[in-house]
Amino acid sequence: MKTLTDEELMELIVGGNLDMMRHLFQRYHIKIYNFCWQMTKDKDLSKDITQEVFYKVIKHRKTYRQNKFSSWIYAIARNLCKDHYKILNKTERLNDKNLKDTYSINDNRSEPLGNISQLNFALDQLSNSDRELIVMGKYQGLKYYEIAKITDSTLGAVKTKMHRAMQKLKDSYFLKTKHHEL
Amino acid sequence: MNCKDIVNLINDYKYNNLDYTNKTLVEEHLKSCSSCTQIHQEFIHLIDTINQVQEELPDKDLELNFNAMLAKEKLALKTSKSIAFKPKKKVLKSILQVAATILLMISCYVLGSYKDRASKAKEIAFLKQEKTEMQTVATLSLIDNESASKRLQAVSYAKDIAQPNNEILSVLIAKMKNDKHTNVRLAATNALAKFAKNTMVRQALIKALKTEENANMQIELIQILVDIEEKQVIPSMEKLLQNKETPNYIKDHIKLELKQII
Repeated sequence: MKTLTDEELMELIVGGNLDMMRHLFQRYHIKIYNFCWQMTKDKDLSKDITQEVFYKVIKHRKTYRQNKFSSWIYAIARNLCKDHYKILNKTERLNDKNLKDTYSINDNRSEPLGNISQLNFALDQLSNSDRELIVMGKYQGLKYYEIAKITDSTLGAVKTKMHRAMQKLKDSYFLKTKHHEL
Repeated sequence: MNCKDIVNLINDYKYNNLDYTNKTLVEEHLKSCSSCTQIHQEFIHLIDTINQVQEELPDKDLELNFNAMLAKEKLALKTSKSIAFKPKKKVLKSILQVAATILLMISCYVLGSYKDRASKAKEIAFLKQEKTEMQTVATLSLIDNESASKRLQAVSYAKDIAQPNNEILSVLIAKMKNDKHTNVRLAATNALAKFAKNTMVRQALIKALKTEENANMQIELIQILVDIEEKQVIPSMEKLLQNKETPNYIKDHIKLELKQII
């Protein structure tokens, strides 16, 4: 079973062999969890969303038509995160206490980790759509065409948006660093 | 090419995504432009930092929850399969119902026809009895009629009765012994031959042969008694043989019949 592609496994699952879902879970749950984690910075929520993603994959297995499974599962995860923002927008995401705690702890750590906390801060300054592009493209190493599929966009549009998002992230990151250095 | 264009290219440059011409162009520019070099350095640093980000590992309970959910879904699939199977059961049920209905109809028909036959048999028995009674009445009423043909008819009615009662038999015996017309007597004798198993009839026939004087009647009686293999007839027959008044042809007949019976 390990040699089967995601799509072949999905075919078996659609055919009623739900046990095959375990293999897909092993292949994707950490990626999906990290995507959610980067998007929400909430471990419990990320766990819930990841669980929900796999639940939806099983529930809606009959509607699976895409030829690439990874695009499909990321699209599901992305939509669930989006739903989460809609609720969260009312309570304002950056007021999250846990998030601030994370920064304060990391401030006392060694240099590379300090950089990461700056990166986290910079990432948080971005809009949701910019952030998800960078998380998918740079953190998770998805190809541009895959991101285009997930976000229902074109390759060119993804490239341009990614470029702009990276610029913003860089500016934000180095502004923070400079601010620190000062 | 100004710095703005180069910055746009740098993004692709750092991922080695540029063709040779653009790549050399960027490299040449970076050598001479310090601000673009800084931007490039910053990007490299940013990418490095991103690459340092380690994957978060979810708690074990994510997998546990997943397994629980999967088990639940598998169970749901099983039940939904059995639910999908239920309509078939329904079809089977309705087929059984139809079969039961047909069976019920057939059994009702069989029972009905059986009962019908039974009641018909009763009816027939009743009708037969009625017929016998009517024949008895007809026989009794016609037997003393003045017309010989009516009397013959009465005798033939009596003959048709399957199980005549003693009254009919005694009337027939009387007619055999005594009637103005030999034909009627012969007919009555003939009718009695049919009921020869009855002891009363046998005795009457044997007795009649002893006293009978009419040749036709003698022959008829001998014939009947021999046919029923009545041994008691032998003395009467021998007596007739010895009797001088007995015509020769009767004697011949008796001899012939005697051989048969002995």
